[in-house]
Amino acid sequence: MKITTIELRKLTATEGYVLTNGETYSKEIYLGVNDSPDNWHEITEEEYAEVLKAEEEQING
Amino acid sequence: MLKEYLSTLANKFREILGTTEPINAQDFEGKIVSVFAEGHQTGEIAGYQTGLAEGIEQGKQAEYDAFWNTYQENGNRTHYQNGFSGVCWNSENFRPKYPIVCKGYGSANCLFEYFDNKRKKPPLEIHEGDIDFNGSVTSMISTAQNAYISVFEMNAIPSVLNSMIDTFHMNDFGGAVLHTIKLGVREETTYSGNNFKCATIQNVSFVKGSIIGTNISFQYCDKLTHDSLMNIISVLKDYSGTGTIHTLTLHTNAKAILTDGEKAIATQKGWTIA
Repeated sequence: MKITTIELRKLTATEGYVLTNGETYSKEIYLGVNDSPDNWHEITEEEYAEVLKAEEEQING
Repeated sequence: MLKEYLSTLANKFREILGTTEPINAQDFEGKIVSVFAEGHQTGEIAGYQTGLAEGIEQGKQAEYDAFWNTYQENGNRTHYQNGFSGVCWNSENFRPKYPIVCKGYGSANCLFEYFDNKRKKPPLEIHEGDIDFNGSVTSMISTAQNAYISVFEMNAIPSVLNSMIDTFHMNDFGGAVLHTIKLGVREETTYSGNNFKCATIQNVSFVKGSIIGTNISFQYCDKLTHDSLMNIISVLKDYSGTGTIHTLTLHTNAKAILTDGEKAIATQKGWTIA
């Protein structure tokens, strides 16, 4: 019988903040085995709203 | 002899005219005229109606052939950029005569862009095999943006492994009622950040052999079924041991459906679930 312990690392953004690695944005992150908490930082929700707005403008031209 | 002959004639008149009334010999001439006239009229009307109906059908077929032979270049067309885009295309008039084959860079760009987004007809269903993406289609940008399509199945896995195939981009399924998608994707396929931007998608499945090898986002899909999520996770490339980081972005609802163990399947393969 083999027992394997799998670790699931979860990052949760502080209230009023969003996590990002510069490309992806989310309030809740489950890190892949090759990922690190150091790759993620928090931005405010207002800053995130600006990011979304900029993306929308880029899409719509 | 003459009497028998005249009786035979009278019987024939009664049979044709559908009467049992006596018919005198002096009336035979009039009966001949009426039988002929009636038969002529009946035959003419029947013939006209039959001919008219057949003519109409032939006319419709001729119009259909004339349009689709031209539009699809007698079956030789392989570039369908904007081919069926626009509100005037719908499930009623989308009746291609030949298989739709998209081949080459940009050949499926905006294929169904804004297809009947006024929702005048039932939503279109595109099933696997309906359209041959020939494996070499690239840049499928906004293939079905805001299109009224409920099922979209496509296989873009190349059939010729050595062909020069660029990645293809699947961008923005903003279809208002898209419920089901089935995809054939390659490890190199890239996905824009706004792809699958469709809140109605419930069912996602993949053609056998599919691999998701680059960052992909279903962040707008809040109705994905558990099976769909497991389908997605199952085709994620295993990057464990490579040190590389890839991201699968899911809606909050989707993350809530998955157990920690199921999430771990993805994270152990080197995928961060955002």
